[in-house]
Amino acid sequence: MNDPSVTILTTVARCRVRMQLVAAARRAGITIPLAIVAVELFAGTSAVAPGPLIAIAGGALALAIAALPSILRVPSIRTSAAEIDARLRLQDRTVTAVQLLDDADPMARLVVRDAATRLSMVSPGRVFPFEAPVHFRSAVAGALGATVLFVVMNAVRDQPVAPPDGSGGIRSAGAAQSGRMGKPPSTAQVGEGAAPSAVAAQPLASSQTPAAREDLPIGHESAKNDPSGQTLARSESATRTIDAAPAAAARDVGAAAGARDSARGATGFAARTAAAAGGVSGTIDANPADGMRGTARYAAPASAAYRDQYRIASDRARSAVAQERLPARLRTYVKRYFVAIHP
Amino acid sequence: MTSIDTVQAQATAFRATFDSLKAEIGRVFVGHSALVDHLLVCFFCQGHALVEGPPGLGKTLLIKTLSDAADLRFARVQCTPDLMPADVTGTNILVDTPGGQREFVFQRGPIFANIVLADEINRATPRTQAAFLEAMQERRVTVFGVTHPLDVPFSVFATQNPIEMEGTYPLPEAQLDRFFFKLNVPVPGVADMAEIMARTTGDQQTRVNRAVDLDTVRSMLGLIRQVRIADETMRLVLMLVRATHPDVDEALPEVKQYVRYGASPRAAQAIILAAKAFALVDGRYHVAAEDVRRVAVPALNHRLILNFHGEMERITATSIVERVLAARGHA
Repeated sequence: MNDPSVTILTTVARCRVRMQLVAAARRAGITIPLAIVAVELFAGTSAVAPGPLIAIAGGALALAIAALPSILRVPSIRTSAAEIDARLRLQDRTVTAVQLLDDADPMARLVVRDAATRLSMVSPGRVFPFEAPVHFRSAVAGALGATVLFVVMNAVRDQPVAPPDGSGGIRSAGAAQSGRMGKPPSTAQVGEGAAPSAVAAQPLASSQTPAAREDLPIGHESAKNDPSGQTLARSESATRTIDAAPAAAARDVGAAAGARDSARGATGFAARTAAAAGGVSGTIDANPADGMRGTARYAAPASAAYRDQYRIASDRARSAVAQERLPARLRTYVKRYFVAIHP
Repeated sequence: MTSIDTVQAQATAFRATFDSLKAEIGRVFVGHSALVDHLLVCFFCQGHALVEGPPGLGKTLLIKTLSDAADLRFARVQCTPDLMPADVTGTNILVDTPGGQREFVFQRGPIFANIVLADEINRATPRTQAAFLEAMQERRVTVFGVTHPLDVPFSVFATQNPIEMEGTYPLPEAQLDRFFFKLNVPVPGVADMAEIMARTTGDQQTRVNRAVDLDTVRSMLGLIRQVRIADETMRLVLMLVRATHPDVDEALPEVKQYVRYGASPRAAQAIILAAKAFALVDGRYHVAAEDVRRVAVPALNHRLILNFHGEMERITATSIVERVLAARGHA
């Protein structure tokens, strides 16, 4: 038979760890539902989209809050022994034995031996099972209610909104998301043509096929609003036709393209390019992200390699635009594209 | 045989003796198992008990049966107003010696017994009641300047009738405090009454067998004090006793309202000793909180002095003690 003192101390120590674990789990039963509600509340009110990182951080914080008291307030051996006695109805055997572990008196040894006999069969998991906290059901119900409310509110917000004139315009989910993030919802309809995506946002010369070129959004060729364009235009000997008539329509289409791009999960960088290409009156000096106020502000890379590549590509594009016969709107498109991706 | 085995054997013998004594008493005294337990514990703790109850409930029979079952020297003192202290303690009497001389020889009184039954002690005068004081506390008697030690074991079991107060001298608080327990004898139930009738009105008289001899009893008396008690349990006892005082912060509103004086440290001693005895009876070598709960009422109820409001509103000390126990989670 093992030393009774060792048996008692080992069992009490194991039970103490288990007590802390159970206590932390009980607290987590409250803190995790609260964290769910908090994350949903944050997602509903904040401009930042609730990514998985926020959810993970919320869960980790809830677990930390649940575990912190158990870490900070470790119960003493005597306290743990008293708790074991109460759970197993050992009539104070353990707490008395813990006190008498070093006592050589025969009666004390009998107490220790008696307690060790009782504790040798004890399983901490059975003594301290995981139990739901007192208000666990209320907490779970609250979290479920908040989740349902969150989902319903999102669904309502994402529903298409018919314009007052009854034209049946469709607002994309991305536009709705942008609206939730603080950007005023665009009244533009989704037009045809694709704005460059983040992947496509490479500083290359125009390589679209003629068919694709026809699908491109019409740029707003405004030398006043585009100093680089002015520079480009001044450097070119070829004459350019400034077509002011379709400018407004082109602006709308371009904005819609940017919004749609945003709906596809494009970064602000791609949106910026689309906005620039679509006739938004951006200048080189102006902050291109102004058009995406409220979203994450992504800037074009500013590394030396990027700048070199940008310079090579923009030179090629410039020479291509100068040498080839291109419609004016495509010239403007290419020009604005390079404005947008300017390092 | 190791000392551990010795102690274990003694504890086993104690439990067997207790059970056999209880069984023998049960052959004569019907029912009231808890009362018998408390009386036996009081005896093994070498305490004195005040047994209170209406006439005819078997108080005297209970105590007499205990002495018969344990083969102890038993003395009965029927207390009356004209009972003198010398009638209890004994006195010097003038006797003729074989040599023709005359000398004073101490004639022992009934107090020199193992179990003394002071029947209706509240009918004795305070002077006679005081004669019991030294014997109960010091376990010795001093007569004419000579101290005579009392026998071991020694316990005084006094009875009193709570309903007849005419011509009585209520025990003073100092003397009440010397009683280890105050035991109330309730009226038996119908089944117990039927059993009592069957045993006492037939032609067969039940006789008590000797369950244990005097030497065995003496060997067991020291064992109780070896039982261990944890600090937590000790603190429970002390807080319990302290909570009976109306002038402490942790006193309950009922205590502040109805109690004039709380229990003394002697009450805590009684609780712990009795709890140790009950632990042995229960087969343990340590005191548990439930042992304390078991003995708190008989150990405390005669040590609480109620104030005017308590007496006017017929509050009992027992109810106060039970409230204190309930407040400490041991109801």
